[in-house]
Amino acid sequence: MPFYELIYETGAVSVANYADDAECLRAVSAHHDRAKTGVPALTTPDNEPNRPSERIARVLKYDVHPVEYGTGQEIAVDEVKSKLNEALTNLEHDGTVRVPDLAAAVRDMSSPLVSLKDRKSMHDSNYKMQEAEELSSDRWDNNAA
Amino acid sequence: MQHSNEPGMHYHHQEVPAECFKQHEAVIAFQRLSQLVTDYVLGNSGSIVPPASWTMGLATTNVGSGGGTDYARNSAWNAAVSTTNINEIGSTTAAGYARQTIAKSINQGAIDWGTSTFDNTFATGGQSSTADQVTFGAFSGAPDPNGANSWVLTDGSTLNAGNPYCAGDTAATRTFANGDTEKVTATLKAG
Repeated sequence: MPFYELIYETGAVSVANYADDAECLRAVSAHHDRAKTGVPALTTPDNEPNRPSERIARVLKYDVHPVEYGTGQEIAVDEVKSKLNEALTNLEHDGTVRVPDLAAAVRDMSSPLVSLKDRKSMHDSNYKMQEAEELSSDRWDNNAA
Repeated sequence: MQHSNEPGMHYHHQEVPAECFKQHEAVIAFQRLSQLVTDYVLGNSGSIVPPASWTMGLATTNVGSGGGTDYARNSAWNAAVSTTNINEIGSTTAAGYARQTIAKSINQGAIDWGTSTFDNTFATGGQSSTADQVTFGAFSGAPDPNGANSWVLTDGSTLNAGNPYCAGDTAATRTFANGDTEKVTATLKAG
């Protein structure tokens, strides 16, 4: 079953697992319509204040959960060499480099997530994995351009 | 550890004022979290290591207080619900459920951990950090099983699998229907 990254208008992100696009669009449309009509996000009655729904800006489709990027924390040697050289250049100060900073840079190589500095927009994907496709917003928003 | 369901959003680490509701619930640190301290932090282990990123799941079981069907220090993900196992919602029918990701960084990712703070209280103090809020859903209907009673900090994306690190009860049982979303903000306090 494919996974879908839902990027909300607020910049919030979730990953959801649906059987197919039709099921995805049913859920996305229902939540998006709630946001447009002021209906709370969760229908379960309890003693907490109602949380607002959020309009959904983008839906990206993946064949697997995008957290599986770099599964097993293994990456190609050539990629390690390239990123290690980049890290050494960025972290070098007076001909030395702090080992803890270098270790942190190495650990980050297997992170499946994009850092804030590499995100150009609040509606960019949160994940490094390349999506299989993006669903067009007119499939869940009748007022989409 | 503390748990809160907190509306609002987080973007570039500037909190947007919003209606806010916080409630602290029962919590537990599982064996793997302790093992990371002893083997990885103290011993520089190459085999007992943190994951590339954290994931958060929702479970039908509750933290409780050490009873026969409550969580135990050695609880593990498992669909069998008759013991101290951790049973994940949506593991039979997802209906939009999937684990959410928290980056292994501090104030560098869209969803990661915040600057930690220290509480010097002798009995209950310690260093704590709050993660950015994660969102579950939108659900397309009722997941099976349905009814979340706790959130679990874990790893990987396979349901009812992976290492659980810590968990907290939700403020109330959460049952999901078409169009629902749920938000969880986790705080880990190491004391």
